[in-house]
Amino acid sequence: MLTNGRGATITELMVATAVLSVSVVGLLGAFTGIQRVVQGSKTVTLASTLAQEQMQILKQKVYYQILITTNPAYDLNFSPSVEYDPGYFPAQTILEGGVSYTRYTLVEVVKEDSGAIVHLPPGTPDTGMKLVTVTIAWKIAGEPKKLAVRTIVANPDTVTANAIFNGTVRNATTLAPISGAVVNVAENLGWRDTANGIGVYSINLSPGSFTLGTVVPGYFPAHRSVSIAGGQTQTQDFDLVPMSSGTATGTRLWINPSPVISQVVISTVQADTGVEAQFIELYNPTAAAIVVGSGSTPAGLKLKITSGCSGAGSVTCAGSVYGIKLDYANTTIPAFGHYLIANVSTFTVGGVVKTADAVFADDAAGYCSSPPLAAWWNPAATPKLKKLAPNGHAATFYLTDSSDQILDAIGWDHGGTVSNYCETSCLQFAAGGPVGQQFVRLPSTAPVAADFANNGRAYDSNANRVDFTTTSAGLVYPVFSSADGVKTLLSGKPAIGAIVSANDGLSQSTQAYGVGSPPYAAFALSQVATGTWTMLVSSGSWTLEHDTVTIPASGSVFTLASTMSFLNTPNSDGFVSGTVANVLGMAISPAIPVDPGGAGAVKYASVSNGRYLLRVTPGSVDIVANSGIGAAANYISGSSLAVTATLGGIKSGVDFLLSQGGRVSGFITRDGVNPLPGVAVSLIDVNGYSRDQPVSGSDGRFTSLNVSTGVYSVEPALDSLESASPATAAVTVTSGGNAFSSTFTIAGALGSITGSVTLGGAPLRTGALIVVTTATLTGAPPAPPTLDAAALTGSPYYLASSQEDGTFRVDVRQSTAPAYRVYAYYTSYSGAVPVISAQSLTGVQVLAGQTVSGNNFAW
Amino acid sequence: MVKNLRGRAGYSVTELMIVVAIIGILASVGGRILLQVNRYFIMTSARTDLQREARALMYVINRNLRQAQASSITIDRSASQPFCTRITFTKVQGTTMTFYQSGNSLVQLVGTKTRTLSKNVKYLAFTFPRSDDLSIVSVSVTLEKGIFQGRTKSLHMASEKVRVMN
Repeated sequence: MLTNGRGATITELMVATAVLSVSVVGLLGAFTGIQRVVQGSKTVTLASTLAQEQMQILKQKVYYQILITTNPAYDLNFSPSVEYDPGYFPAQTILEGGVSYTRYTLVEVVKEDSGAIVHLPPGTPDTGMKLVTVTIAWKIAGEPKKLAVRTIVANPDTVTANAIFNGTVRNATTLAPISGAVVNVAENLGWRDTANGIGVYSINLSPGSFTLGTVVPGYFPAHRSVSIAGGQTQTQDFDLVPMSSGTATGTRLWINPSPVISQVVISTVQADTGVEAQFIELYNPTAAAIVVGSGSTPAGLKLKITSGCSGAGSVTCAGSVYGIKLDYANTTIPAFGHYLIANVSTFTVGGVVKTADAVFADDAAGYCSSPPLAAWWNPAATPKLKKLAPNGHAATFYLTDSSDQILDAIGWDHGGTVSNYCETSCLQFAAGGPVGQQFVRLPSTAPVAADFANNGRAYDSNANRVDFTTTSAGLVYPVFSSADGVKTLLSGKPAIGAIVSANDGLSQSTQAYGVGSPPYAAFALSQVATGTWTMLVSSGSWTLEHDTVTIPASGSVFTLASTMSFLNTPNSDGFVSGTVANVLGMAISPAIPVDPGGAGAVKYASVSNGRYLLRVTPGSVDIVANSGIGAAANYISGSSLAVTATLGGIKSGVDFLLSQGGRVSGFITRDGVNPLPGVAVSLIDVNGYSRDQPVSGSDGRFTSLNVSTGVYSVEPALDSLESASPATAAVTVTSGGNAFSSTFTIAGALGSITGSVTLGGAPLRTGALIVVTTATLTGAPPAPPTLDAAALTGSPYYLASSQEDGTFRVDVRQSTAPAYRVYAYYTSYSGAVPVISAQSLTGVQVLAGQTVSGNNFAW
Repeated sequence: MVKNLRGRAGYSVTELMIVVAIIGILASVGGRILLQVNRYFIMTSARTDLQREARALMYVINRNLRQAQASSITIDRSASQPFCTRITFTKVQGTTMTFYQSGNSLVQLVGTKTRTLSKNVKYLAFTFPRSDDLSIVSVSVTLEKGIFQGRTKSLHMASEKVRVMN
């Protein structure tokens, strides 16, 4: 082999090297991939540990100290976003294993209803169940990851619900069961049940007097006052009366968002002192005047042209679109008025002298802005006149807004040559453009001659051949300029596809449809409940609101008058409607404010029928009745969370049932004088249910608003080593009254000591032992005692390890005399022999509810 | 042989120089790359080892500690070891168990049987966050392993609060 074999060539060597490199790179890639997987699984394990740890901490708390999240915040890195409590359990950032984790906590009121967990608003009286969700969020290579752990915390002191309401929910007319009807007790949303497949419900509750009711879409709501004694089972059947309904219809829905080209004449041609005038008439169907331009500069509107012009006196336009330069004599097109653009400032048409609002500019660039469009001269005229669209050619005029979006266009054919842009269908004329004749936009779908003289030419179904009429000979229709005043609207663009909805709570929304020739938009909203309602028609950003849609009896038809059928109110909102009523289903006086939070303005419910209609930003909206400014102090507040509002649609049936109530306040102190913030207080009603859990603020005060009338026991929620004086206080809440419970003095409440540990100026990442005690440790180094149940009856000890970022936090009970001593221990190793070095701080005084920071140790 | 050699052209000086240059580059760069790869491998495997070790020992401690009787827990230290590095408790089943630090080792002691859980302990502490509540024990451990001839070290810190169930 060797004798006959050649040596390896350089090419072979290089190929071999390349192959080797590829395999080495591949191996490295595989190695990093495996590493990433290993790290990924590690981060998930750590996250799970962190979540479990928070669960342990929460479960260690007294039930009433696990405070309900009333005002959640959201982490938007995830979809759906992660909801958490920024107030009582703020997000924590934890560095572990080199990864920065964020720990979110959320506590919700829940109730088991027919086998499912139902989430209830935060203001609901205690159901004995809280759903705690701890979510850990972190990032791997910039990609957000999360892990959520959920648990139900039960109230160990739950009151036995020994009374039962049961019964059947039926249709009063057919006696058919209504399954899915939610029956609840107005005084406590936690007492509820959903009727099963045969309409049967059963609610366990405490004895007392309540308002029992059910609201089912399509039926009149039913509420009744009931009383039940302990150990009793009471049958309460509901036969619901179906709502009678009729239909709301309309046959002409118009929308007029922008100006239109209302008339075009290519040549007046008739002997008008030798002037061959060409003009374009615009009409503004909106309620606002529009600045067209000034000097020779366009502003709100631009006129453009495309034309297949060619031949003598013309250059080939090649189908391009050119802006037409104008000299503006009048700057604005009035609301509901016209605007006349011509090639000459004054001309006579039909014996009437017209003065143009703007004329084609004649400068070095020709009539057009750029590039110049060749002028078609009328050399016979004196002075010589120019025309944009020549006789005998296909062409299109465009009207655009200042950002060149086409608002309207009109185009025509010539001898089978189609203009390259028309609305649906080009107008057809043997001689190309209307020479000696008129293209006039229709004022309505079926106009009479007088309409052309008295009304705005606004009908626009987006089809040139349908929307315009032509004169067979002569100029018979009047020509308007801005001087001709207001012309009222008969039509506009058919609002086909507009969403029609009503706030009756029964009808579903419908869409307007196109019908007729020429087409118009009609609708029929069926199943509208009897009564008087607000109807809303919405198309894009335009709406029509009609407040008196009356359905007097079953089967009635309401027809929207044609004069009221313009969608002329700009709108970017959704709508939410419903009723606010007291427990007997009656409207409340004075008017109750309904607040959609930041999504819209507060509106007041009607004092006659309790109805309200809110305008809100489309999306998910939380709605609160009777809260904040203007709230009636003698009624409780109610909330409805995550109501979905769509642009221009009405979300109806968001109803509130408010019972009468007052407020309870009190003061939490650490010594009878100084406030102690952050202490939860429970308001326990006569049945033993916690109705609210206010928390003392930074001034130590707590207030529970809108508490139903009755007698309550107010109890601070404390752990086993805290004590309150007095332990409880009884208050009587009257309608609209403010009951001050007591000044509570809490002994043994917790504060915190925080600080950092550093080694050579950098955070000590390996961990230091921190011991906080009121005792003095002795020895070298000062030694903490053996810690066990027998030894720990005297001075308290609080121990912690510093974290990976070199910080520590120890929760300790209030103590100023004796003050605390803080000891820190750092261990280094000489071979395997530990060397302990200790440092200490003395005189650290901690007050309840306070954090003493800056206890730093440096080695 | 002679015939063969005569019939063949030899390597030109240029070719030889190119070969030598390539071999030179390969030797200098390749060696360095190999060293880097090796270090990276050692570092990541050390880190993975520490993580696995920490997870395993945390699991062993937590599982046993959870079953402890709170009143039986004693936290102290072995002679001349750092403070709070020894925890002794009796489980509900009656078994007494001790975990303690001895130098760089973490040792589990059941009866007279010992088992070393780690030989890389840099820091260990068993603490009651509050001495008035003995049902929560916080376990904190930092493992450290020297690599690259003692120049760089890989660290892993783990900490958990354990709720004693009895």
